[in-house]
Amino acid sequence: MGSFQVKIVGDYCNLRCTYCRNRDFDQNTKTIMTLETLERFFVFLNSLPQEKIRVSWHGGEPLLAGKDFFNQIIRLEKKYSKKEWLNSVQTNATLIDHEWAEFFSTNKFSVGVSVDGSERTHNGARLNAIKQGTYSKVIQGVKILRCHNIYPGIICTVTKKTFKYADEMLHGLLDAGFKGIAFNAFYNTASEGKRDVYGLTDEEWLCFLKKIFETWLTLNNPEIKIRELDGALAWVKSKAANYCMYKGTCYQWFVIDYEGKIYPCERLGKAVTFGSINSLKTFDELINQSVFVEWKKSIERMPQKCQDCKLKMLCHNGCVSHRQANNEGAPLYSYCESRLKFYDYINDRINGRR
Amino acid sequence: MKNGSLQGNTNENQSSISSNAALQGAFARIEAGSDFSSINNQSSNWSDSLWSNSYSDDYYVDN
Repeated sequence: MGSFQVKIVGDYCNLRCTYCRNRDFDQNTKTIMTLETLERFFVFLNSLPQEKIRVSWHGGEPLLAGKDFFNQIIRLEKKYSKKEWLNSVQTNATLIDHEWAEFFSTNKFSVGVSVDGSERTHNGARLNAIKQGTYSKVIQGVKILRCHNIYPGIICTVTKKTFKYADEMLHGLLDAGFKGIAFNAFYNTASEGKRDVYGLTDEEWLCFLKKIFETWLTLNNPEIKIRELDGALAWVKSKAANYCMYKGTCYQWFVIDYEGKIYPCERLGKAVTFGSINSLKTFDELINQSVFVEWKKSIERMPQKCQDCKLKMLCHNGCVSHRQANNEGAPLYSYCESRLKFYDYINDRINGRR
Repeated sequence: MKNGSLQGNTNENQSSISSNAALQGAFARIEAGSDFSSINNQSSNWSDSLWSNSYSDDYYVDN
């Protein structure tokens, strides 16, 4: 199944989250993909042999593209109807109204919302343009979605400023009615990385994960599904979550920006580009370019530490955007030690050794 | 690699954890769900893996 993230408004966003990695780019100028580029995108994807194609409509804040734009998406999906289009949208939910919710419900979009834990932790980072916290606006949007039987999953970003409030963040999300939760360790890829005050260290991420695991055990509710715990518990069963951060498959994900330029995963910024859907005619042409082949080779190169690691096949050196150059022969996953130690921790807990 | 197991351990602490409903629910998801695969089924072949059932950042909890 092919999957594409489409930044239909580029980096244009109505929020100014303190840690946003897009702060290096222009978040103020209203940029929207033209209908010509949108149709070119569908023509490009139509060249794929796969029947099912997943498209994640992204930004910036994708809802800033407007309802007419999303209606055009549906029109084009009907035009190229030999494919099964699986749509998702990742939104900050501040612009959701009943019309949006009805649209997503009618057209079977899955909706992901960004909420950073409790009202307090969320409002410390996820601010609007006049630096006000957005929690109440986000929850209002989520409630509207639920009125239309859409129960969004949550991506919660964890930073150096919030990791110590693990319990508060989890309880905040649960109290707001969320049961499908993904936690993202914030690792700064913006330009001022050396002065970064948000990026989590290995130890901080491990501390957060352990607290979340223990709280989740105590809550003892099988309906609470936490991506990071499921991923680690899968290792105990010698299984790997089909999540790109565990599978070393980030070359399966492509970002298309509003102008049609093609990039790897949005976490990697814009340093590497694979051309444009305006000049590449087919997907085969994209993946056979030397720039793509070389990039793929570079991310598959494993550091020495990985070669003998017990989690090698369950980890694949983690997320490419979280790797750092060192003397191991290839960049090493920055959260390597926390991944190993968290595996040992839950394995010991399950086997009564802790 | 060493694998944890919920079986064959009489430790009281382990017993209380192994009966944890959240943990059992997670293991049931892992055993049954298409979001997880056996390491033996992971192909190193580029063309096989290109469109494998992998998901990126925002897919797991959306469905």
